[in-house]
Amino acid sequence: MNEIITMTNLSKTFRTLNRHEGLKGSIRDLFSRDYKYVKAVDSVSASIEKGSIVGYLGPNGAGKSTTIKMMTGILQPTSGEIIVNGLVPYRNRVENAANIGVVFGQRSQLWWSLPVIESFKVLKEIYKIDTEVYKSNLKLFNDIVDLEPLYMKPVRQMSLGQRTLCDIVAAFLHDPKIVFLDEPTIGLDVSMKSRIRDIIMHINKLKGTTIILTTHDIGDVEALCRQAVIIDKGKMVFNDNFENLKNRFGKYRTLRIARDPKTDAAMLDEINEICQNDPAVVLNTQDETKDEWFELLINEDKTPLARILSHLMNKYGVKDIKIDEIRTEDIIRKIYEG
Amino acid sequence: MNIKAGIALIKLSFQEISAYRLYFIFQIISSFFYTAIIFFLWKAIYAASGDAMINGTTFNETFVQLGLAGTLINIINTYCEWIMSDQMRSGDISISFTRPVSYRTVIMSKGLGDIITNFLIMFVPGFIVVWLLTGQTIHLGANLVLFLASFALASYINLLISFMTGIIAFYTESVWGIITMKEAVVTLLSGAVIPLAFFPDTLRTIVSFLPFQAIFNIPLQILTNSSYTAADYSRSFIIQIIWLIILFVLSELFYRHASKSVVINGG
Repeated sequence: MNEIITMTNLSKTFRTLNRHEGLKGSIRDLFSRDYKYVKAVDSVSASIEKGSIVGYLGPNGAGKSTTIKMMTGILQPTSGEIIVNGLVPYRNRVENAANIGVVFGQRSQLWWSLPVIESFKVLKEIYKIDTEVYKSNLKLFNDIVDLEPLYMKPVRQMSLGQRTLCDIVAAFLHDPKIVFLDEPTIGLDVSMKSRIRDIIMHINKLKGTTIILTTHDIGDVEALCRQAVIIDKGKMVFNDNFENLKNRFGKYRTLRIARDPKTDAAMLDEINEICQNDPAVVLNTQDETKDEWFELLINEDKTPLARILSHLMNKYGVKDIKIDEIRTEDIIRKIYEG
Repeated sequence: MNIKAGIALIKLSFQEISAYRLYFIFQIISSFFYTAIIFFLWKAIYAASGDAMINGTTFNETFVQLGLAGTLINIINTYCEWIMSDQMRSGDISISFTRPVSYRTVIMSKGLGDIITNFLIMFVPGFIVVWLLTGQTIHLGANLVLFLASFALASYINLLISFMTGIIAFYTESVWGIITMKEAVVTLLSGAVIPLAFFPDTLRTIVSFLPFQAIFNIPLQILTNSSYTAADYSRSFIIQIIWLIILFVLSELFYRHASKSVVINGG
């Protein structure tokens, strides 16, 4: 058995009060029994292989964090099954917790007023980490990201980047089998992002730690993940190799055509007409008056780019063109926007 | 239960408080002010009554109790229930839930750490002030040792009550009103502001069936009541231990039920 996490028809429904506006509404709410049920996660089935780095993606509010909370045993699923490491997380929360590490990018698990090394020492006791293992792990992280200068710095005086770095180290300290990283690179600069990716990559290779990464930074996913799971409105919309993501939604390319004031108006009309007749062509131009290029997103499985290009060239003449592979970001946006 | 983790968390709580050094100074100062208020208030009450004794107690006996209670309140209040409700509202509670220790251990250790720290810092100055103001009438002997044991039990009882109040936040998210009410009830019914001897008979009977008297009244009686016999001491300890067990079991059951219905806020 090589699967470390399996989810079968996993669902979570929250019950919330239908709130009303204003003071009157607030008073009404005190006695209201008018609940609405929100399906945050809707029969998700997926499995994750041991030792892989999986990107867990989806727009804000898609149900990512809820799923992670169920995997870590904080929340009990409404229905469906979940098995992490051979355990049912919400029934064996404490046992499961010993095998996992968690980083919530928006929160810190470190003790705010104390030097970070004190937090590490307490975690050593909480996770019952062997002294030798603890020392060698600290040394390991120190070798990758030069952590020692931070040891005596109180967490509250750290920059966001330093704190996140320490939070990530804290999550890996007890050699967990799975680490959940919930938006670990949120709000970080480019160099800090790359240091964090280095740690994740390194530890995954060295120790075979399974990593579940939630992020909105496609760069993280491209740099790290082999598998991607995408959910939207609680439903799973993609679960495959990350490479297949690009092909899965058709072979898209962007065609950019330099605009020319002489032919501009006629060309715009023509393009709009093409777009209307052929759903495989989409005009991506943001601002019709200022952009220097027309940007066309073309699904080449249906309409060859060359046909559109030659059509426009023959009719209007074209000064300059650019052809790009579609960016992953655009594909993901396409998925999110349905 | 993971004892080593508990001890590490207790130590950490000491370090956390010591990170803000001014905290100690202000705690001690506020404790002195409280003692002064109690001193003058009761001095005036006794002067107005014209008797040396009210309800069979002298000014000194009353003041020893209430003056010390002022210090003990500051020591025993850990704000654990505030921390719990805060973590619940912000969703930071999820961090504790991803660790292999129970949330109960985390909160209890934090509370115990706070109480031990407060005790080390505040008890001696508070005690000396009351001792001097009452003309050194507190007997210094075995009762001091018994008091310490009784106060340790009292701290734990108070902590369990705080913990249970905090758990209510699992259901209601906001517990501001409940905590304020609980604090008023505990302070009044524990005999911390008015000695239980001053209560009307009916109320005193009711209070004797409640756990609150075990928090301030019992340890303070052990410390200051010179007429206590061995039987009184053992009765006091038995009451405290029974309440400790009852509250421990109740809080465990309550906690188990609550952690099932927990909803964690924020992304």
